Amino acid sequence: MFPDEVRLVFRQFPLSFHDKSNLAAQAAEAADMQGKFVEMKNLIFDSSDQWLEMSTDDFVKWVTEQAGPLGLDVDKFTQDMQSQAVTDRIQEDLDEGSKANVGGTPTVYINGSLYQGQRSLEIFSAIVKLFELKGKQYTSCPPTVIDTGKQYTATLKTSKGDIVLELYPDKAPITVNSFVFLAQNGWFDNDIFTRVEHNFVAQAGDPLGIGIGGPGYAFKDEISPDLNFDEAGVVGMANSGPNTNGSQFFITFSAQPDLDGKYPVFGKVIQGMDVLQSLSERSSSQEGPLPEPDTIYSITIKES
Amino acid sequence: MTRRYWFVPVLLMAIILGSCAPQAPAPTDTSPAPTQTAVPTQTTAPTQAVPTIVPDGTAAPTAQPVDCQPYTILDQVLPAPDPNLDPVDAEDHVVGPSDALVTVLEFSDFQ
Repeated sequence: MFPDEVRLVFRQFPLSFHDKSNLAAQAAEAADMQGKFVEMKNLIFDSSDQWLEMSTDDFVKWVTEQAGPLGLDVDKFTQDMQSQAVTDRIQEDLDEGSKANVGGTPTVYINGSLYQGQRSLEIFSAIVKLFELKGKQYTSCPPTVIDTGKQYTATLKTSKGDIVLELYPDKAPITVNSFVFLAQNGWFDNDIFTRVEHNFVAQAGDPLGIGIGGPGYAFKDEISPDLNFDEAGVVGMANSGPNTNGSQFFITFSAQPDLDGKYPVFGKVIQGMDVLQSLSERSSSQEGPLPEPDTIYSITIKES
Repeated sequence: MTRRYWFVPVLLMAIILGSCAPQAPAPTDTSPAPTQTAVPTQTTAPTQAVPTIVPDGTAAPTAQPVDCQPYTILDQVLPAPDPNLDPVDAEDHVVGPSDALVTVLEFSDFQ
């Protein structure tokens, strides 16, 4: 999936209270001496249901039987399994693990940082995407690019047509400044609507297209008591809790009073509600494959 | 883009909440599990797919905010690199390019 972006590193950490762990490690290292580490490692892992209940003697016999089909010189494999070189190699990994205070297995590090979350393809894919995004993110907050005494509109050129927003620089200056800054720097170019729920909101602004990306900074909630999600077309910032606004924004399809006070309102649709309504539904409640998302080709800011 | 990514918020929340996956026990493993405080309801709020919690000890936007500050989700998911972890070297079993953007290093036990 990520042939160029990801490097996998395997270090042995056989736990002493597992009777066959060290033997399995020896087998993998012995296979490595014939250039077949990965093949043997995968075979042992994938066949664990076959050998977990075996005695150690039976396991040695079983793993030796696997050596031939893997293309290994079985005699050499057998000798290497018992060799000091293999023992030393495993001990080296154990020492490295102990130095890092590895206490159990598997223990996973991502770019040198201890990772304690769930291990699944989806999770690791998301993490890789976040690392990819890091290269595009800003390392500081945006400079001031707006004049709060002026008026601003934003034209979203989408795959379904144009949506024009009026922005509220006087009521939400930090929010509008960030939005304008990002738009002017192409952050939203070729972005997709990650979420479109016609009874709720359309959400965009994550360049990853998966609803987790941000620009590299977060700004505070600018909540104005006179700005509410009281109709369709209200534009607000999506966030992940108080004061975590970044680049993801949403537009309401109808009044959403439950959102009042939690999400900054910073604009409204003044043209293109029909375009908004025509966006393809992409909802977590949909079954089956989602339709192709609608794209925001660019956002153009006009100052007056 | 036809893949469904709506599960990512939940999974990322799981990242932040700490490991729930089975891990072979060891007597020295005493690290506490982070606790959950609040979970946004994705079906009713346009969240950014990340919960309102962060692991202890990390700097994150708070209820007493500054106007703006650097912030990445990765910083919430991953702590600083462990200085006690030896770098990848020629002795390691490696699959993938040496200049890969992401290196996943695993200490593992076969059993």
